[in-house]
Amino acid sequence: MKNILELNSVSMIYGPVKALHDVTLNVREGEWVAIMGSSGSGKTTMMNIVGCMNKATHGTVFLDGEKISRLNAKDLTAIRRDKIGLIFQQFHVISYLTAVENVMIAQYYHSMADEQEALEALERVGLGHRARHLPRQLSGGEQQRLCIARALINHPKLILADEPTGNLDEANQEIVMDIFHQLHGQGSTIVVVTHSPDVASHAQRVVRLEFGRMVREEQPVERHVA
Amino acid sequence: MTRLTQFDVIRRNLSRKPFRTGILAAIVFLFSFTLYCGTVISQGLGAGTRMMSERLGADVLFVPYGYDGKIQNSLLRGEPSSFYLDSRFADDLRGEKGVDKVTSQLFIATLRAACCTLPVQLIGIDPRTDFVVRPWMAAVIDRPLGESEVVVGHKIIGRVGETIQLFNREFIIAARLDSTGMGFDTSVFMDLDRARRLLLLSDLGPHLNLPDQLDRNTFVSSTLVKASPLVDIKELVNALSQKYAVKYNLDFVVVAGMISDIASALHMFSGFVYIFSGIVWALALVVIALVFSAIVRERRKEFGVLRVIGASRAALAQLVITEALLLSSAGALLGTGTAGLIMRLFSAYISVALQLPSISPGTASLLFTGGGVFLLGLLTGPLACLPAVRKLGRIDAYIAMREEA
Ligand SMILES: Nc1ncnc2c1ncn2[C@@H]1O[C@H](COP(=O)(O)OP(=O)(O)OP(=O)(O)O)[C@@H](O)[C@H]1O
Ligand SMILES: [Mg+2]
Repeated sequence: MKNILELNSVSMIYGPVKALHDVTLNVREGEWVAIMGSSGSGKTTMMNIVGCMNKATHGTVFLDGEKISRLNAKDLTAIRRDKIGLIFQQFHVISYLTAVENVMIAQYYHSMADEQEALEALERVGLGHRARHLPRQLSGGEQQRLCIARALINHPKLILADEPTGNLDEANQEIVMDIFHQLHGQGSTIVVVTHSPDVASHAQRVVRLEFGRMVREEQPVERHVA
Repeated sequence: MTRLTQFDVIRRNLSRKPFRTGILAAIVFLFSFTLYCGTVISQGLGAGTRMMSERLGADVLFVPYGYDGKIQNSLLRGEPSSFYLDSRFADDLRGEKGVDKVTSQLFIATLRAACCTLPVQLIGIDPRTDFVVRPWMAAVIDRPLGESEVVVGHKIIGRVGETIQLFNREFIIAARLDSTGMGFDTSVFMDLDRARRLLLLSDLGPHLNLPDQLDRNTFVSSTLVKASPLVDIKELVNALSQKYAVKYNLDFVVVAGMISDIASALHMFSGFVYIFSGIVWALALVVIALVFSAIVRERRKEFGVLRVIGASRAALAQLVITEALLLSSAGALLGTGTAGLIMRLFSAYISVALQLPSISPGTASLLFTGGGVFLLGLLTGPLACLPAVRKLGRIDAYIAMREEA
């Protein structure tokens, strides 16, 4: 299978800080990869580069065959919008839009808002009954699921999740993992950053970063699906 | 299918902060309102002044001593008054060097006429010598006035052919003059001799303070002089005053001076209007610029999120500019609308209050000026928010998104 993501000798330097150092990584289409590493090891930095929110200082990055390390801000926005679904640890939603509107605004910037489709996306993450509520009326877990619905609404090829369960309890973590399994089953590529071995164990492959370097790749611990 | 567009986001934001939205729109309102009202009034005054210099074909008006102010009030504002001058003065003037044309008029104030809510100025003109009123009266009537005919000013009620009562006598309206924006609009013109007889016959006669020494058959109110070409008016007036002022107890008004006084009053007014509008505009620009900078700062996180989910910088710029445009269009629309309505409804009162000759602009001119003012008001918001839009470009989406809201 072809690589959806290729990082070749990518470095990211913030003044004296080398957040990423000569990182090389390939992710195949349909793969589910977990990225682990201690705090400050460069995981978020890497996700930002892959997610077209930042540009690497050195090295090349290919996303779906396109060399994104060379693109300008405008083209990066277009790639991010068209190919990537982003999920974060914090629930970044628009406070004055309802749940369904938060999904629709992502549709709007992608192509055209379609309420029916947005409602279906909320249904998929178990939020169908909360579609008309404002974010502050939702629990943390529900807000995170809202973010997932929003990330998925434009059918991205690549889902990037940076500690998506960091603020969730176990029950909600399980719900999120179930959603990821569904997506993975439908062919989505998933890259998830996590501190949790449990979350990592869902992935097919675990990549470990230490001090900005890739230290090793490993197969996840065998997991018993209940 | 419900749609959601940037427009909904903008609307939601504007209505989330009704007070702020209201204040910003109000400033634009104030600007459009003052500029529109001021411009329309200035235009009216300008047209009035031009009309006046066209209509007053005389160079000097001679009146009884102390009545120079009265005749100006009568000409400019239509405040009726009665005053009397010996008609022999006009005969004396005819032989003077530098004097081209001479005519006399009789001014009679009616206390109240059945036609009108305002007192009317009756003006008797001498058909043999008149050179002041006839040129523009010729546009509406091309024959001499009959014994019981009058020509009425623009604001006098009654149709041509109908009768009008003056001093308990009926007169037929032979013609109506176009609007002049001057006292002529509330004046009624008739033959000088007829006017004189009317005054003497009416029971009001005794109340109008006709001095005893005046010849009852020839008295007038004012004598108007047109100087020969190239004659220095000032010198002419000096010479004539020296010779006749004491004999006939004279005062005089130099028309060019009166008009230039009005013109400078007009310039002062227009200057004030434009300076004031300029200040309000600058204020609007500064306030909107500051508020929008604050808005962008306050919504950094939200803009970061929108960027991350796919909004381009241009889309965010459009978001902010449209928000400013909506604000200023509301203010500008209300401002020009209200001002236009007020100008339309109250232009007559306004020109009376200003006590200067004024002609209300026609609908086309009103619309044209209104359109210009509206556009200027409309542009205020987008123009003022540009610094904030520039700031928008510097937002690092991912970092902004993580900031506390
Ligand atoms: N914008 C920045 N400017 C300067 N230094 C930065 C910037 N962003 C990240 N860094 C530094 O780069 C290093 C990697 O940061 P990064 O956020 O990628 O870590 P992380 O692996 O995601 O950590 P955590 O698990 O705590 O989220 C850190 O030392 C951090 O201080
Ligand atoms: Mg991180």
